Amino acid sequence: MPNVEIPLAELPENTPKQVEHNGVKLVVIRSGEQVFAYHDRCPHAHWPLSEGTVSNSVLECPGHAWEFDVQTGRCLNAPDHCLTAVPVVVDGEVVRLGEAAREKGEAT
Amino acid sequence: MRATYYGQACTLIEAGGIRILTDPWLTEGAYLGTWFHTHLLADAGVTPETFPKNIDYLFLSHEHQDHFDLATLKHFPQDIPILICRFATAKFLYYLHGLGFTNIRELASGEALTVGDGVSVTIFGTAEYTNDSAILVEHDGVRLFNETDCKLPYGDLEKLGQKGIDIGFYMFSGANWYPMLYDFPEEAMRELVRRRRKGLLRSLAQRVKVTKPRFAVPAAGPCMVLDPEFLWLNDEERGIFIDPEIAIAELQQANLASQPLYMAASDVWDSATGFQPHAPASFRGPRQDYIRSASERLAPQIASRREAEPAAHPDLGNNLVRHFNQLVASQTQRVRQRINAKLALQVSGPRGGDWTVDFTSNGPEFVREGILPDWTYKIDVEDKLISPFVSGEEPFFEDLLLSLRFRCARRPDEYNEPLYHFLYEADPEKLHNWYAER
Repeated sequence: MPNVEIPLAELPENTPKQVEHNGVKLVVIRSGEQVFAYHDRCPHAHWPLSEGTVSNSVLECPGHAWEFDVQTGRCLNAPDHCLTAVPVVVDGEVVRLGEAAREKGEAT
Repeated sequence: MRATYYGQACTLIEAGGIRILTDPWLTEGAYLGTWFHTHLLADAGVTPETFPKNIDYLFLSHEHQDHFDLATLKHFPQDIPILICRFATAKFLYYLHGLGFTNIRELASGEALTVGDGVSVTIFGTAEYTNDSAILVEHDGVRLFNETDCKLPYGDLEKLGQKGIDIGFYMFSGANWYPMLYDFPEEAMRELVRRRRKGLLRSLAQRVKVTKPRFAVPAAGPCMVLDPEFLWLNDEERGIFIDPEIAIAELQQANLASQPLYMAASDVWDSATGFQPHAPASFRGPRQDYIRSASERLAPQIASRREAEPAAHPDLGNNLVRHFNQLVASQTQRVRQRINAKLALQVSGPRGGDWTVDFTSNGPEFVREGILPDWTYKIDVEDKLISPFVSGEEPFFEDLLLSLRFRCARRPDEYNEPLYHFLYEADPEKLHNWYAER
């Protein structure tokens, strides 16, 4: 399965973007020179995090305002929860996303 | 279709000759006398005694007292058809049976039931560990959605939006004790309140956006706290109980295709004729003025209710130890490890004392006398208030917390969701299954 490539220029800073990879929806966030990718599904009630907002390295879910550390995926208000990360490599002006396995209950 | 709003999540839905009543809470002073409606129902002439009883179906979304009021329900016949969601445990079903109700129909989440000529009801279950549900009523091409205060999975909301909704009733306010009852410094508290209110309002707009109703009514959520000692909980800067008109303004600002509709208790919406205001003018006046006036009017009633509260059970200490020992011991090791808490209970009053429920213990005893120095969550509560919840008289521990008549603290300052789930419903199988999947 080829990795997904995204031009870095298509990722405005702190603006979550939805990308589909191997039938799995991912949320990709650029934070400074770093890029992070997670399954686009809040563990709480499964809202798409790509519809959320990013501020001060915190991603807020649009559904019920759960907050996640952009860099680690850790939920800040319910630390028992964590987003499922997907490997990311920033190669110059290109962002490559690693393989994303579908999680239980995750829609294609 | 016609819907009359009676505050919180209570709607009387009339369609095709069928009358469905959702979450009837028609008294005041739920949760140990703390919760009053956004506006007093009696001011609109609504009481359980005068309320029409020719109801074909009751829908009860869950067991919280602002949705499931025993004092209201006793006015209905015990064979009235009751619709509930099939939850992970039958606790709510058995409780209803125990009250003598004989005609209860459980529906799986997403299951539709024809309740009359062309009238269909679908119940949706929450995405959360708690038991909660929402209802969709359809008749003759008109669709009414009452979310109650249920947090549905996104997929269900999306499907509702794909078919469209004519009128939707949405939760919009906070309705619990965070952050107000924690020992945060005042400034930190105000900031947490500000952020929580902002998140709640944004969430409302998002749920309306996804479900696409023609009319969006901010409904379940806020209460008035009228005890003079706790009036501060109603403040915009210090509490999470949001004024419905603020929710309306939020929806207006969101610039959605849906029309925000402020319905106060006793107002009516009719699919043929539209909105019909019936609520008293005072329900549309400044909310803080209304709250102050209501508190003054009800102060004697609140005071006498407090005085009549029974004392704690003489054997409170042993009851508490036995209660928590049994509940913790019945959990699997995996669940105890996920909870990983030392819950300090600082109980004041003549039968009070200090105990710590230690989920990190290897057992067989999990409750220790005294407050362990490394407690992680602390509840400070009166003996008479906690007493019925550890003696088996009151089955729903969260009712105590929703009374807002306690103080709490946590170390570290993080939400321990597994501990909350344990306190909400400590069913070992349910807890184990929930955490086995996560």
